[in-house]
Amino acid sequence: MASARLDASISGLGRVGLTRTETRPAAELARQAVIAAAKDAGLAMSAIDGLVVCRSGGASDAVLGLDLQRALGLRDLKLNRIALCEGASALAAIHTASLAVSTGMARHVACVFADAPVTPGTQMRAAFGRQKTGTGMEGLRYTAGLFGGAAVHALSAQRYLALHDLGEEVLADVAITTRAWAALNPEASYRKPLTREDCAAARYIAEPLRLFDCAAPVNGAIAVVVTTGSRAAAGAQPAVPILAYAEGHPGTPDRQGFDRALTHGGATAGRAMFEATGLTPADIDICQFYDAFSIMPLLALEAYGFHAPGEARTAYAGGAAGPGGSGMPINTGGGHLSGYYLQGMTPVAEAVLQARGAAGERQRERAGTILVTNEGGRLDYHAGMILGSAEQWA
Amino acid sequence: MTTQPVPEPDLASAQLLDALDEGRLDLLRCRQCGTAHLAVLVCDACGGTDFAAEQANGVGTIYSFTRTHIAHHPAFADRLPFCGGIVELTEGPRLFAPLVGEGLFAVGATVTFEPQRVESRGIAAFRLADQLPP
Repeated sequence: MASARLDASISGLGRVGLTRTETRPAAELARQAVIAAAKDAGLAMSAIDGLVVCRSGGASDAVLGLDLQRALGLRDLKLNRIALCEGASALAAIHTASLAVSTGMARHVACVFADAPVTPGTQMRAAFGRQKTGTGMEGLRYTAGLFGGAAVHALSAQRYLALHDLGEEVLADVAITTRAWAALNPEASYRKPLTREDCAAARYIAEPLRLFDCAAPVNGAIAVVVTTGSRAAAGAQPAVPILAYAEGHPGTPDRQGFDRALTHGGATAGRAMFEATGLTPADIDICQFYDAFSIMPLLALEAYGFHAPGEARTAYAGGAAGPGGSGMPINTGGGHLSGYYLQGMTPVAEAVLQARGAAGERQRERAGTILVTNEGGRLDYHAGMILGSAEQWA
Repeated sequence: MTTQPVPEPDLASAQLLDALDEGRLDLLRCRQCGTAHLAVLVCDACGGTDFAAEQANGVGTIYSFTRTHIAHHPAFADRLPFCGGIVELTEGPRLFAPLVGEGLFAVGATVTFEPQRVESRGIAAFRLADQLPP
């Protein structure tokens, strides 16, 4: 039985902050981003009748919560919700909004992510180095000294390189290509081109991950407005239709015979989305992957079936995924690595800009079908979305 | 001096963490299908809920590891860089553990269990099998 189709498009995009010098708290950044997204969509604030909030994994209601509604002065919302799916929360929020507009529950739903992990003037490690003790088996990672995302993703990277007999240059090529895109994006944090020599000389964070293999933390917020296709088509911006959405949460056992550190929910989500749309990996014009660490796009490329296990490096070989490259463009805004780390919203924002034809110097000619991924936990929670251009899909 | 964090037990891990406090590394073997677990409420292989505790043989291999160059916690500040990873026990299950001692850690290298004390608690560290403890 065919599942009911979503009738949802992204009609507005708001970006606030995106720098290490931004000092406003997350809730205020979120408020400004929603206002910016509504304005971008050509909507009065009173037209927003739904809100889906998402936030960083460790953040509480005191940081950003349902009372964003009051801060925005929004009355009589038909939907107000917090989406919690770790790093996959942004796409999960947009999906919740898509369901709401598809079923008529709400008309224009704003989805927002905000985070302010950087205290200007302090070291980056302070951004995500929260002290934890934890409970049970997962808590043992802190006993082993494995704090922060870099340490656990280093375990995936180390195993990946060992299993396929590859060197660190495979990771460096991801960082170099992503930086090359960032050079074309005025909003990116780091824009100076990188070489393999630069990467090899960079300090280690958690081996084999070096400095340039890790995301650029910023303070900021991104919001999108989701509405139906017909309303979006009548909006102020080119509509960006949501063609498909799926999740994949492997729950892989941590024992012999299973490979939890390399098992990626994109395999499940990709299959579901390609089946639902009739599309194949060859139909995807651009990928916007969640790339908090350089290993992540490689694993996503393989999970989604673009490459066989151990072969994703060929996507980056010779700059194929970079500006002017011969292959599929990946993370055209500079991603998390060189752009800005606003978790699941970073790849969404770049996909919307490309689909609209509004990506400036880095705009791709073919940007009609764009895959966006979100990752949470240590590859535990995954969401994928395929966005389209109005030109190709309206 | 701050000591390294040790997790609080939850329902699934109580047996394991209690045993570690006594210096032992214990498994919970499913009485229905024989699958070995470290922390478990329901056997994901067969659905069984009855488990027998037994001592692990203390030998495993490195599933993956990292040498960390940043201390997010004061207990690790004077150990930089230090190694931690995931060890796969011969009996099957895996756990996060500090990797201690000298030698070349590598994916697939054989390691042995080394009980360590952190104040009143016990933890499971591992050392390369060909490196004798000091």
